[in-house]
Amino acid sequence: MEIKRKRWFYIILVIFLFVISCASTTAPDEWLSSAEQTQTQAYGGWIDIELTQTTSREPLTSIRGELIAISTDTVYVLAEALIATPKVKIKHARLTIYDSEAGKLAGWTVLGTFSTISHGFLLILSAPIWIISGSTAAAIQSRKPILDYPKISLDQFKKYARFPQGLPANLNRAKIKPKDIGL
Amino acid sequence: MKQYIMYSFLAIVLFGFTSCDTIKTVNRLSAQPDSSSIYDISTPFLKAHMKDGQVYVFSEWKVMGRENLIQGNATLLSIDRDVLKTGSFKISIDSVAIIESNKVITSSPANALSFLTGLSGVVTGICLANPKACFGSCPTFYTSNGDSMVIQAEGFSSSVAPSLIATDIDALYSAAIRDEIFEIEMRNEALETHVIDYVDLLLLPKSSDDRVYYDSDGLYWESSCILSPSECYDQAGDCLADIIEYDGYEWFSEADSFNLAEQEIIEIQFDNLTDDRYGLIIGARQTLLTTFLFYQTLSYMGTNVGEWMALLERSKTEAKNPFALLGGIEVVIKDKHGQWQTVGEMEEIGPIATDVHIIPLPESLEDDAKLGLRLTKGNWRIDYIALASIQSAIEPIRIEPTMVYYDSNIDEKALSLLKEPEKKLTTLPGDIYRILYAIPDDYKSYELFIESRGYYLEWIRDEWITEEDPQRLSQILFHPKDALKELASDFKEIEAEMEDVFWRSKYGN
Repeated sequence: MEIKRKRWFYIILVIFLFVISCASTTAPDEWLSSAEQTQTQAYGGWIDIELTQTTSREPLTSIRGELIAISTDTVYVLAEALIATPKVKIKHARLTIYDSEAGKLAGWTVLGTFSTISHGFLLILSAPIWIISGSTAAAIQSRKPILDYPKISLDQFKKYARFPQGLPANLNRAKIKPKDIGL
Repeated sequence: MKQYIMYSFLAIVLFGFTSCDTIKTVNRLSAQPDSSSIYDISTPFLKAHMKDGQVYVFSEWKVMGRENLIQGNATLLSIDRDVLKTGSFKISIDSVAIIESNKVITSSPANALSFLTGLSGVVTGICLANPKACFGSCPTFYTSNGDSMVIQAEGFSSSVAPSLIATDIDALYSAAIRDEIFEIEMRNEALETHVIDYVDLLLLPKSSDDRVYYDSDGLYWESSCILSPSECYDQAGDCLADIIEYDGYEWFSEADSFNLAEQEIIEIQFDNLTDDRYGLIIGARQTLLTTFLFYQTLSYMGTNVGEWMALLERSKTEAKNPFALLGGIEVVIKDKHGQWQTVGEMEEIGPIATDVHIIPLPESLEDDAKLGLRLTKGNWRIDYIALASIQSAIEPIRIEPTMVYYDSNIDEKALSLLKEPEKKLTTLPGDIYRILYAIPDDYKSYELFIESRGYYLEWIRDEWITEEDPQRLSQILFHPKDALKELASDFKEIEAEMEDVFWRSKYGN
């Protein structure tokens, strides 16, 4: 039936738009704090680094973890251990500062789209408006806490590091503790 | 259902506004401690990143410039971000490496969705508050007027059951014909199933500037001379400006407050009449009074609507037709005793598209003949009244569709369903078919009409059947005169907004 085909089309369209338009991060669940929590916490953001591989023997092609500090020539990331990466080796980096909560907007959009059933025939107009506006809003929101290098210089990542002032001289690099997310 | 929709919508609103309140973005400022702009008192927290890696998170603070100190309540976090101490602190600005403040604001995308939720709620509210004004339609036909596709006709509006299958002829009065291919868009714009037997084009040969009109006896009349009225009066006074041009400005009146069947007369005067035979041209559509009455009847049928419709279809009741009491537009002429005598009637049904009809008048019309229209108050919207001289009736040339498109694709099946007499095309809400007709190359020598045949089935909505009331249904079906008096107050409550709600609830508006 045509109406059923259209309903499925809209549902698939919503999912497709969310999937293609929302920005993603590799941060573990619960790792990212909300925007409000970042006011009182003092951890760095979550960074995904893709490295330039100059030889096939290089062990790492990507690094992900908490951004600890950025110096003139080095980026420090706390993964399994503290890793120092020369800036020149970084091909691409994505820093996620807080949890965008775009999923809430996605849920809101799905509910809003279904609510247009109360609009009668006008839903043919209002459902696509919900889908397009909601998908766009979720996509924009998902990108709000994200900084991408090389689009944005690494120096602008500094203030979102655990130590925006740079690595403290007294830091025991082997013993720095990661953020506790209760795992 | 109404409650379900309302609760669902409230849940969405609640979810939306809860989400809106929690979905935030943050603007972080970071600066050297000697930068005075960083100490923004409007931010609730201030972080002092110390040179040794520890951080003070101040919840209250003040900067003591003379002493070069920050003083206030704070939590001291270690390098590992464990809490070391909470309380009152006084720290030297010189020992601070970086000062950080964060301004948290509500996310603009969340604000946008809040706005959309509000807007969506308005539409929901309108349709819930007045479900009998929403959704109603029937097959609608659009053609180009030269600039855009405009609604020209609605098909078989009163055929709400298979047994009521009917043929409807509508003038495509303002259609622009550009070449030998004429296109009609047939839309299903309501929550209805339309079952269409055929949609044919009727061509009426005419001289270039003449117009052709259709009367209720099925005759087509060519006219070369159109007279506009010199006067037009209703109970409220002069109404000439509303009806003198076919321009979308309509005359209408309000229904009576005590009896929906109450009638009124519009008086019309024409000057310079000759010995020609004349017909009165009326361009009109119904108001939503019949729509209200129809949906109200369905409401009173309630959960038994299926059984009632089947009974009515099989004619196994003595039910009377309440719509007959509302009637059409009667054309009346004042006789020498001052009494209005009926000479014809226009019975076009449907509130969507204005249709143009002609009602032939008696051959010996006196010079000073007083013409009038007798009609039910609040039941009609009249766009155009004129007088046309008519000679003889002419015969139409029938053109069947030559091609049908659905979703930009040629739809051979739909074409064959429209052309084969025993088969019918079924359409569902949202369906749009483009129907193409091959017409002669001297197309400017024809007036176009559309002839459609079929019926449609309303999708019964739960909010309609909450008013189930066998007593009041019985009154509508068996004592419609009384029912039209009883329902007057209900209709008057929504009359003013009904037309607006109806068009707003339609796709494309």
